Amino acid sequence: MSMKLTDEEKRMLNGDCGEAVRYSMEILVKLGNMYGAERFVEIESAHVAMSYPHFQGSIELVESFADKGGKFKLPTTSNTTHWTSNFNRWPDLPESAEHIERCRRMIAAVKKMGAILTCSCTPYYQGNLPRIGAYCSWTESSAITFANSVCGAKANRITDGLDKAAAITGKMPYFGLYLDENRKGNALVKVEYSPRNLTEYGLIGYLVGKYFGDKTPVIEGLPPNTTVNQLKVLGAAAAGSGAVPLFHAVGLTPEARTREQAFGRNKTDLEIKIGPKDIAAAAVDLSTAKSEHFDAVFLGCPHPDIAEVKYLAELLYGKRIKKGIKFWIFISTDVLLLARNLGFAQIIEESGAEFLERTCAIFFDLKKWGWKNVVTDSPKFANLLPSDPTWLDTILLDTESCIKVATVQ
Amino acid sequence: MSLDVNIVLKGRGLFGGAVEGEALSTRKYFGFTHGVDPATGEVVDERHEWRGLNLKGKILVYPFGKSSSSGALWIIETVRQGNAPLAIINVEAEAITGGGCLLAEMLYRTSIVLIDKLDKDPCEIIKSGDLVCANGQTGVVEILKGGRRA
Repeated sequence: MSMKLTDEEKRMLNGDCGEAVRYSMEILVKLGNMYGAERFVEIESAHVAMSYPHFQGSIELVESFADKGGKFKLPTTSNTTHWTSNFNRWPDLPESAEHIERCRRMIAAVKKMGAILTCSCTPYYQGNLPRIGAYCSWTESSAITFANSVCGAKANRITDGLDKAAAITGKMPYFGLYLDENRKGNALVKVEYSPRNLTEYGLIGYLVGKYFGDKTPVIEGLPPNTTVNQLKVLGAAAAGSGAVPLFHAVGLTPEARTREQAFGRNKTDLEIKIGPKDIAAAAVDLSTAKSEHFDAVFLGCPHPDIAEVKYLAELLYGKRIKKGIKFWIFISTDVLLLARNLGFAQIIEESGAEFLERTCAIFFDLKKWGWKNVVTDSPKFANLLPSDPTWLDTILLDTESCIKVATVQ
Repeated sequence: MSLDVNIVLKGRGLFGGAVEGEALSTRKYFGFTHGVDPATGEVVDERHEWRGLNLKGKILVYPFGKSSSSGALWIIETVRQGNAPLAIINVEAEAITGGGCLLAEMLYRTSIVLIDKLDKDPCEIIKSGDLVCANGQTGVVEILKGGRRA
């Protein structure tokens, strides 16, 4: 079956609107035909990736759009990348000229196409906040989960390349989670535990993704005052350990005012319970380090909101980061500017901790730096870092404990 | 190509033509991002039972993709460096995997066959070492148990 195209879409595919539009439409029509889409929808929100510039293929892909003159049709935010202010910022941690050149090419290509270079995994904090029901073309697995679950917008798990094609054309094939009937819950998670901190919300998410990674889980039993930021961390971990683009939290998220609404007509026997023992076991699972020694502390995955930064300032006030370790906080530019304006950033930097804006640990050439272990408060980081390309073992602790082990009075 | 076929499954042919090769099968989710070293084809996911095995030229059988939405970049780079699997057979193939196969073909003219939604669970039926013929056009998967020809 082939997609039905409007006259306008046929012109776009025929090349009447330029080579970049033609190329993008060719990709999207192929995608639509693969996934049985009958037609296109107009997207209302776009967030594009700038990921893994250390691969030659990543650069060739993004330049395949930019070199054809591609321009993003709607306001388009961008995801984290290896941002220029970080290049060789630490003389003891040099990066290869080749690596830096590829990062520059990635940034230049996305900039040329007209992206708003927010370079954050939390576009919803930078004003790209889709309304309920809005069709989105987003990359960044944690942001996709946030858009669907917390905003009630509609976003498929798509990938680098498809995102550029969608932002250039303003269109996406109508498939997957764009259809209401595919958004209902089909697995139940009963949380029998009251999470004490942000890390434990992430651990719940890690378990949800591990057991129901290809499902739409319905989560019951989270505290009624659970915040958007706590759901952000939960969703990010679930999107990392599994592929959960949409979860429902009963009483908390827009498509789950009740369990009945969350499930619709779906019936399921799939059920897990998460209690204190499961949380403890998940924390052990995510700590791969064989010794207590560590080279660095990584916070800010996903990028923090201002309340998280204020909390860090309170915890770090009057303390010093131990000699010989790096204490890195990954952050978006807007939240960092606000933190500076309010004095939180200065308190944090006086301790010796450093902010790394518009970026993420996974873009650094860490393998070459000889680091072995890192401490983090993020279950998503802890899940990713032990593998290629970072190859770091992890010690997962809550935020307060991260600061305890890394500071002196 | 004639195989002494033991089992034939029928599914949705998403991408590519017809290939024949040795299966690598798991019941665990697998993600290319942080899952494979594109320079060698070796599986580098510390938490996966395939850790240390090589994907190059294999017919991969796993239930579902997982993890980062940048999966296509890892598929594309694995293809670019000549270490791609021949085929991917999923219970359901997400658009990150489908997009990766599609974009890799457009950039480097190398197709990875992609098939999903088979009439039986492929992760149950196909074992590592089986010889598999997979057709990305028709969605037909033929399995020769134990990898031996008649």
